[in-house]
Amino acid sequence: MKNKFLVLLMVVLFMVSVFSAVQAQETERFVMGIEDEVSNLDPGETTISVNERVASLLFDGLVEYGEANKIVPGIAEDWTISEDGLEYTFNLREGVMFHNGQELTAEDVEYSYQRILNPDYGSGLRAKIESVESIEVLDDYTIKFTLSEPYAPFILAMTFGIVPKDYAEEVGDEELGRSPIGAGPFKMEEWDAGNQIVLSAFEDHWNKVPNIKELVIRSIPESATQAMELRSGGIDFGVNLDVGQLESFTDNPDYQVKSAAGAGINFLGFNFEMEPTHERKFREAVIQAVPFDQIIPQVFGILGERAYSMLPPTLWPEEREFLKENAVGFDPEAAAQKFEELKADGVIAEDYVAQVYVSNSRPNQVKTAEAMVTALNQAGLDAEVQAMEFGTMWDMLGRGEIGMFFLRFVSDPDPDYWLYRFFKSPEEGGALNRAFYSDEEVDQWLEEARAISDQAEREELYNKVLRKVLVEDLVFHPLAHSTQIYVMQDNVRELEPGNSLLIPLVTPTSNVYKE
Amino acid sequence: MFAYIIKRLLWLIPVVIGVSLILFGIMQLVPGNPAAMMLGTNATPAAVEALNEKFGFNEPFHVRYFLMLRNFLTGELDSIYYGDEVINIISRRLTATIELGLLSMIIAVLVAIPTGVIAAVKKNSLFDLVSMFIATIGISVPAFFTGIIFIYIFSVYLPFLPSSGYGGRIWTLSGLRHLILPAFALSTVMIASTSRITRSSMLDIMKEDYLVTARSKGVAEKIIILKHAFRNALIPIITNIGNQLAMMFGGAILIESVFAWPGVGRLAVSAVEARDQPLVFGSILILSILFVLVNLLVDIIYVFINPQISYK
Amino acid sequence: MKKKIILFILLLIQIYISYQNWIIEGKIWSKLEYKFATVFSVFIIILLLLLLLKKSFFLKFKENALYAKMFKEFNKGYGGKIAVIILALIFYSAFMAPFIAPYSPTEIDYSNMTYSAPSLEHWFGTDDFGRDMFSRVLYGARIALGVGFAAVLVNASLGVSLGLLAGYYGGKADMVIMRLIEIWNSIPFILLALAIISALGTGIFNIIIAVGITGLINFSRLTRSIVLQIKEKEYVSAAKALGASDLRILYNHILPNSISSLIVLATLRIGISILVVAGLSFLGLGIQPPTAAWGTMLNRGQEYLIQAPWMSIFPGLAIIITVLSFNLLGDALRDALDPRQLD
Repeated sequence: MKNKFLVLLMVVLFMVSVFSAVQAQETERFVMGIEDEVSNLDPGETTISVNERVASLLFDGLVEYGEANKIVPGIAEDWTISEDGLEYTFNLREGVMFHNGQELTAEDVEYSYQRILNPDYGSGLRAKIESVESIEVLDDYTIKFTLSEPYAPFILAMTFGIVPKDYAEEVGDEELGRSPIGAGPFKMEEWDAGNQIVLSAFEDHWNKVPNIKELVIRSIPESATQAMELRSGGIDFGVNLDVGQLESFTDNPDYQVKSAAGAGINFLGFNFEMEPTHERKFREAVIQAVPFDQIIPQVFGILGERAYSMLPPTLWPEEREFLKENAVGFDPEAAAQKFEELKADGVIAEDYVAQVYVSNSRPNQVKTAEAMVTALNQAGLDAEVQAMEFGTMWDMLGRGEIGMFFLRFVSDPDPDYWLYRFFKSPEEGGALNRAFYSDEEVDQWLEEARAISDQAEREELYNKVLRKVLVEDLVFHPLAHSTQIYVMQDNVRELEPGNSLLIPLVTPTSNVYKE
Repeated sequence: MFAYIIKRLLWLIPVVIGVSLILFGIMQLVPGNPAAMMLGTNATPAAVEALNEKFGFNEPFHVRYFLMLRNFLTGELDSIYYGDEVINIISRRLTATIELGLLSMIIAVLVAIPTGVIAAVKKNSLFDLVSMFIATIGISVPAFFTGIIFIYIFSVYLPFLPSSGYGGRIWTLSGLRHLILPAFALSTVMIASTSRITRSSMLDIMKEDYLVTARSKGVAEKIIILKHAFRNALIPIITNIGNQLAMMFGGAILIESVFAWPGVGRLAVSAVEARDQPLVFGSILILSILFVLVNLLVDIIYVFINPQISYK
Repeated sequence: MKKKIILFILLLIQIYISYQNWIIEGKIWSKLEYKFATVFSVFIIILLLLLLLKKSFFLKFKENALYAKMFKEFNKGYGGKIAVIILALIFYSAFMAPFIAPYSPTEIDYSNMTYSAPSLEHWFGTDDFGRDMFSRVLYGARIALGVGFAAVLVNASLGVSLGLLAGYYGGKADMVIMRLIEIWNSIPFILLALAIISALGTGIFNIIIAVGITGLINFSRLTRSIVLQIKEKEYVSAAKALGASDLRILYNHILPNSISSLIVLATLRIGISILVVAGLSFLGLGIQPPTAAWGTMLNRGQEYLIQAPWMSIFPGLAIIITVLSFNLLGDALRDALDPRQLD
């Protein structure tokens, strides 16, 4: 009897503690700062980074990114891929609700993807699903995608947000971008354009109801201001701080600074259709002249990690060791000698001044360029920094007017998204081949790798590509993988950086709250 | 008077045409296109091309210009980047800009005019020297630096006020609290220049004969200063305030960036960066119209202060 | 006597600096910046010698009644005198930076890339690349003054010519020109500069253009009003009656009479131009690194405001002191050159 009473008491106590724990996790209001202004939240159009991240809170996709960017089930419970890799059949969960109380069905999924496929709609996401031949609704909860050719990274495109067909058709694309309705964990409350967006927890979410009841997302473009806001308690969480500001938070017990290998790569590129960057000897001399191994840690600090591969550390072709060992190292004397020889041979013109182009909105790259130019001058090559607005630089790059440039690139976790665009010949679909590099072998490897689905085989092909372009031909020189840094107040829990295309407030593994 | 106002309002027509031509011309020279900016580094050339077609970016120069001007006048101009009507985007921000400008002006007037008058009356006193020296410093500091220092002092070091952002309309407590720091930071230049002008125009006026006469007649010094001298000194002061205010609506860009203030100036900067031509067009035109209207207002105020001036 | 001793000491210092650089370090003519510094130090030495040995050379100026009066007015307040001394120092450091800066402003010691607080070796501390802030601030004076003067020169020559044309010809020409300038003026200048730099690209020359062609209204309005005043004066009508050409009248009669007001305005505008360039650096459109420029340094310093405040304080102070001096000088000149007093 007594024992029973004790057990009961303990059960009650346990229940109370569990309950109170749950109670404590509920967070009334959570304020975060982002680096730019959100312009449009239509998930079909969001190729602009901040839009994409905020939209990921409002919309859910068929599948989601889980831990270490593995694909896990989202709205789709499970799926099957046919042997030939051409047919993807998804089974949707029943009872998934949109914010307006409608149930999500296969019709909505079809609509969401057809919309992006429509060329008139002009979506930047279209390139990722171009291989779709047809979309078939089998029943309310089953949908089948048929591809025209096998495309290994296709499953990543299934993370696109699903929009409610009825609503989208009724109000139109523009209105959808301004008053978004999705099936994500948060719903739109108030959008004070240019200032802040207020979201609230969606209580009928199919999976997890957020602990955060009211989420305020403020756009604070100046990183100095964002640092001040963190200090004054104006925001709980900030993502956009420069190295100098971060340093003052890392050893401060009132703040948590968390980092995760990010998906971005900062690299130095050369133009293959311009003199003298066309010469391998010149490219090698430039890389040898600059002590990148010393500059990168100083400039990027905890915001970056010295890179030797174009692919982020979280992505699979594990070729880093080889690339690191064979990377061109710092050797100022050799560089100076090469520059002299090139000048004597007339490859470097008498009045040549190397122009290093960099986007002025990336302070770390500007600093790296600054240090690099100083080193080049010391090695006997006249050089200048051209820090310009990204729009101007991007246009000049496209027209092939830039010899040496710094760029940063972020994409989804599949090597195809990265290497194909960079190194495939420009005429054959290398959309980002700003080096104007063209090599038949590389073209062939890249084409093969996207068609097979066996990861080991693909890995081998991508390794070949990386060795060829980074070690043999020196097309690009990888500088730093940007690390994702979150700075938050010390009472924030379960907020872990991971995928830089998301804001991980509610993920399969976490549900952020304030203590 | 009425006819004069109409005439001045008609002046807006050449301003709109002139400014729009200049803007459109410069935007033609700026490399880059909005579609490439919107689609970012992940875009394929085909996607960029399709988007350019959709926005009519491939039409010839004059067709686009007239289309843009017509759409601006009818309020149908669509922003590329925001996918919304320019008029909607701007109207949300215009209040923020005007609130900031007005409060700065009020602060500046309340601080600067008394300072200038006292400095003039007590010429070469310690107050005069110190206040004018501070005023000269005030016009010598880069505005964004003032902003950062203000945030550090009044929001981090002494946590009185929120550091940035827009808190609501000016009459709400939160709105006012958010407004104070940027308004002070913005008003430093205006305080400085207005107090300097006030002092010098007061000094000029006090040398005039009729004041000397009044003084010799035994009119009390206070009355002389406030009633006669100050009233006559107001004209250059108001001209200056008008100029400053007009500059402020456009020149607040740096302050708006530092304080993450959702104003038209910052919008225009990001529009230029995104190569969003309709929005650049719309937002800068609105700022220019505001500029002309403020100047008109200043001219009207002249009449109320000095009935001898009349506009026919 | 006291003055002579001071001059003599200055001369010794200057000769010592030149000796160190020319003889010991061999920095005379090998680079453009050395050439400037060499010429400048020769100039300073000659000037000091003249002051020491040939006093009468400068007495001539003092004898001229007009200059004497100006000089007296100018000396009334402290502001003008202090400004002249500070500006002289800034000019001196601008020209002599390669000779007096203790370190190179751009070279980086890659093994020691980190900031350090002000110390005896580095008076203003070092920046996040380990470069000496004192040397960088000294070198920055060249950019600030150079860009400031050049921009105002562009601004003044455009504004003055437009103002002269409008004022002298009057009527329709006047209306059209002034209206156009008003329209130009109603576009916010930072946005205009931003668009121009986006179109032309960054670089010192483009920045000078962008700053130089904004705010034309100040010079043109001033010139126009002066021209309108002078045009009615007798000697101008007389010259006209005698058949002097328009250009001749403008050049011989109108320009000399407006020069004093223009100098005052130009002095004030130099300060404003320096501020505008600093503002552009804040938007990332300033002078390109690694060139040492105050605005760019100040903007960079913001990032380290908490841990390394010296990175923003010294360039910030340099800007404030320079602009302040130009403003004080402008005020003093306005008092000294006041046309009403000179008439």
